[in-house]
Amino acid sequence: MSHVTESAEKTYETVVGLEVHVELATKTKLFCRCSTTFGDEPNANTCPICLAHPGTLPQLNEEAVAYAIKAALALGCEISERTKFDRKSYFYPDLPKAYQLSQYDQPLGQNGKIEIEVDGVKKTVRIERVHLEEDAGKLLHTVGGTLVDLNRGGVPLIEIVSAPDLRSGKEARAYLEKLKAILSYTGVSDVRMEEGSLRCDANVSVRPVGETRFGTKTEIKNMNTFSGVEKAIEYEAARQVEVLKQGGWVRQETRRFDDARRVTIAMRSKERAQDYRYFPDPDLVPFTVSRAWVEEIKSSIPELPDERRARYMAQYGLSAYDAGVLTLERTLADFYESAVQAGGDPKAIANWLMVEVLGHLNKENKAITETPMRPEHLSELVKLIEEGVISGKIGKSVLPEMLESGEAPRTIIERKGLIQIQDTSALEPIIAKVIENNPQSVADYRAGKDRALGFLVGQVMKETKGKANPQRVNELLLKALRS
Amino acid sequence: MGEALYEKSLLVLRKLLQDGDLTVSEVVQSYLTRVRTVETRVGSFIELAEEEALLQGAKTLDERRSRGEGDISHHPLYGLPVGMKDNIAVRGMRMTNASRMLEHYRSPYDATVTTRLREAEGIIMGKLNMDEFAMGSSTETSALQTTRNPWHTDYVPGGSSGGSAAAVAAGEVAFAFGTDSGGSIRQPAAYTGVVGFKPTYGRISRFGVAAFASSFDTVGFLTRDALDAAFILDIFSGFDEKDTTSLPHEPTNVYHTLKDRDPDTFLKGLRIAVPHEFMGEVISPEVKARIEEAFHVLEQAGAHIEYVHFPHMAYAEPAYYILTSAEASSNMSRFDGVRYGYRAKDVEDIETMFKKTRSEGLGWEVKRRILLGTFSLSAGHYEAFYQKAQKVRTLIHEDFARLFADYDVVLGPTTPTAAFKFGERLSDPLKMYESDLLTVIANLAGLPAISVPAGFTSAGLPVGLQIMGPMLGEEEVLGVAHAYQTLTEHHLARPTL
Amino acid sequence: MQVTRDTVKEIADYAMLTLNEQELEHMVRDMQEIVSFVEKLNEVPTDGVEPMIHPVKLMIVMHDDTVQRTEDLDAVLGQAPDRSGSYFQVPQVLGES
Repeated sequence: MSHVTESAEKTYETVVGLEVHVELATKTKLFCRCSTTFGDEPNANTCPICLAHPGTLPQLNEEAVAYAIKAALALGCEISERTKFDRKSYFYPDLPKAYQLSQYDQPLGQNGKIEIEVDGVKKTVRIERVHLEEDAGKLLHTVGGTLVDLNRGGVPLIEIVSAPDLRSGKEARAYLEKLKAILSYTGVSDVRMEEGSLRCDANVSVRPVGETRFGTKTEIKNMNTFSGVEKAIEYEAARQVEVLKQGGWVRQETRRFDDARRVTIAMRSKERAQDYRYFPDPDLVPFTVSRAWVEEIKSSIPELPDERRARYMAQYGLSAYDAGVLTLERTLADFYESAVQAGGDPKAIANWLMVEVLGHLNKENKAITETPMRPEHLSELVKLIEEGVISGKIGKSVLPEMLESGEAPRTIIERKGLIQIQDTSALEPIIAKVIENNPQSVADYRAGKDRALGFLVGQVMKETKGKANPQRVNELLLKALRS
Repeated sequence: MGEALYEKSLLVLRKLLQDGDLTVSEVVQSYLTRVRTVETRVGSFIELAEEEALLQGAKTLDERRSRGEGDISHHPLYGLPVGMKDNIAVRGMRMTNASRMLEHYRSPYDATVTTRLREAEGIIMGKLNMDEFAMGSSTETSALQTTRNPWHTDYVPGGSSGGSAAAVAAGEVAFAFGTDSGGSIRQPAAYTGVVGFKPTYGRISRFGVAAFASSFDTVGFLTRDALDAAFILDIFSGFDEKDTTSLPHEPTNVYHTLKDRDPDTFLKGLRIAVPHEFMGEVISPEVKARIEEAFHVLEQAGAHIEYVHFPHMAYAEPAYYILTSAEASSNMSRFDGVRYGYRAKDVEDIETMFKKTRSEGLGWEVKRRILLGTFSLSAGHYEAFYQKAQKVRTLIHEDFARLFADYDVVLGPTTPTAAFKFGERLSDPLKMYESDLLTVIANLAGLPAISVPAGFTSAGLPVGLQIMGPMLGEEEVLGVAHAYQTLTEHHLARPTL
Repeated sequence: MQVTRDTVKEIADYAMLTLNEQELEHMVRDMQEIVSFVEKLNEVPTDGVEPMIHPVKLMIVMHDDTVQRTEDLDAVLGQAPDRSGSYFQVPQVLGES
């Protein structure tokens, strides 16, 4: 599915490759035992090792390696048996050793792929490599100078590099969403976008349709929202096409995306090219990833989003779209699954979850994990409606409270006296009273005006403050009118 | 015997302490007096521990002993005064690396060897001078002070562990830690007439030892004799989880093997290789003569000495300088003035701060090696320089492997000449590098090697005999050194200060 | 190969070192001498030879994922030449503020 831009003479296509950095969910840093907790006092989580004091040496975090292997396997990569860390050198105040430990020519994982779907069209995006590296610290630029917080310095990251297989901002977004889903399913990362735990650089170029060579690319750095990536790519591709149409040429450069103005801006280009002087870190021994270890990790990978989506369609009869929405996030999919297991119609539960629950949570800007409502409660709510204990309308009215308080629906409706009146003996006197008070409507109905029935049902509902079961009221009214 | 306390070997001193013939206070007092007497002429210490604290510490140990508490056999260095090269972290003490960059830096943590030293109850006397960040062969590149050769104060003590060697030679400590990346323990040991021992790469943890060239740096000791070195090795060797480049082996057990061994039986039939390249024109006649005398002693005791060829000898130094400078250029980049150490004044922006800090904080030799290293790793030079040198390193490794298939040890001089005068080589890098000519190969191959005193030149300057062994062959190396010392008395000579 | 002033200047820039005129001249001379010396390696045929990273056979040991607090963090952070609160403070990063 190519995204093409029309111009007078030529039609251009966009070519995008993404480099995604994801923070791993380990408790400690990649090369020392400092905590990776987010939001602590500046430099509270540092030690002589991650501050690069003289004499310190890196100690490799086994869990980080295991997570990186797990992520690479989940992305369909081959795992390198021999691997090592290399030093990538540059001076910056957020990089204590003035080199970043990364993996240059022997990445942990290679040759993977991700399936994406855009507008109903499926596509395979190749993943060139997945490697492990350490994060840098954070800088805070103030008028008086720059402040350095190295709490993030040394936190394990994986870098996932795609092949230039994406053809639009929309595809890039679909790729990122799928990537996020896979990573959160495997549990290797919390993928908290707001904490910057997933960051994306995009290499963007354009070329005339039919051309097989790549155009000159620009790199858009450090984006951390999916919509930002989509917009940035669309803008940048259009900008490049415009440059070419004007007879100019695209300059190879690094740009950044201005979210507010929705444009990409060239970053201050250094007078000289960077030379990272990669070389194998002599402080860390090259190491072997044993087959047994890889197999052990492989067996711990849970069902991934694509598999789960297919299962939801087959097992619960969900539509492709619904199954897709419900499986995009593991937490949501797990919630759904638990609710279904507690009983109730899977389709109804899916509807309630997607429309009402997510609708409410989105308004509050919350995730499914942030509500105290338990999956069994959603199941109970759907069952109460199915059994006619409450109406759908009542269901909708108690849901916000369930989401806020975590109370069971039955507790809420009982406390509020919202249980539907199904009892004939309780409804009959009310119906008799309504018939008596509305002779005109009764006459209209008997004259063949069916609409009058609706009015009478409404009156009964009003009398019962909405607690009567409408279907039951209907039946009893008809019976009374016919008699 | 008439020998002063400070002249005794570690093991002799240890026995006196263990038997209760000496108190720790007496030992520490004696060494402090010695330091006060000679330090102005020798200049080994960058930082001497506070006298009061040392004496108090000694008193505490003595009192504990007199109460009959604490089994001192669990503390093999109980009460023995030890010196630390200033690139080794001792919590709370300075760790300057003899550089302006770290002139006021105090280490906030202990190196693994320091931790083990404290457990062994050795007494840390202080931090010893060195070439700046261990780059140099005379201790003249120290930005902080001059250390002199105790045998002749017009001469350099060698380097980079020059302070450690001089302190041991002058009797200021019972033994000293050094580091050896290309001869930095053995060469100053040869120049100052003490034993300098560098074990197999990775045998002793590097954690807490400021890196010069990570794949070369080896922690070792400067001692009065080879048996002392064996005793200390057994204490400090062994895997350390804080250093992934430390060897995954148990601590050695060399001392007990050596202690009761008859030197003649051991030397009988020993196969010794002497590469022609070690005895060529570049070796001064006097050094050559002393070394040939040493060969004679060993042959008399029944060892077989054969002259062999070491094919890649001529390429050892170039490979060494490329690789160590490349690693050093990267290891030195953490000194940027952000988190500790020196920072240049009056700088407006970060890049100027980096440049001014580094340019003012680092000395010429360090800069020269950083530049050579940066050059070797940069795009377009990586294959021709850095990687080429890595391949030559492999070839040197293979040369040794072939040699050790047929021989037990490789012998030769430690250095081509005896110590030189101050300023004689400082301005000529290649001339200076020549003093490491015979030592760098052991570091390229990671092998254990030792320098033992082998007599003097006519000017009264010590000459060192070098013994190299196969990978993990500390027992062979120390065994030959110890046997040689039971047959000779060179190691008993002490300088007059 | 010829070591030029430009080469040394460029390399010094990578390494964040500044050399004044006199130092630059001196360094070009030293570097030329050392580079010519090490170029001797070109005589050695090394086709098919593996580059060596470490001289001995080592086995990596990894650490488990349990947090260790830094003892006396103040002594570590207190070494900084300039601080603001618990941040390290440095001069402005050009083009970023």
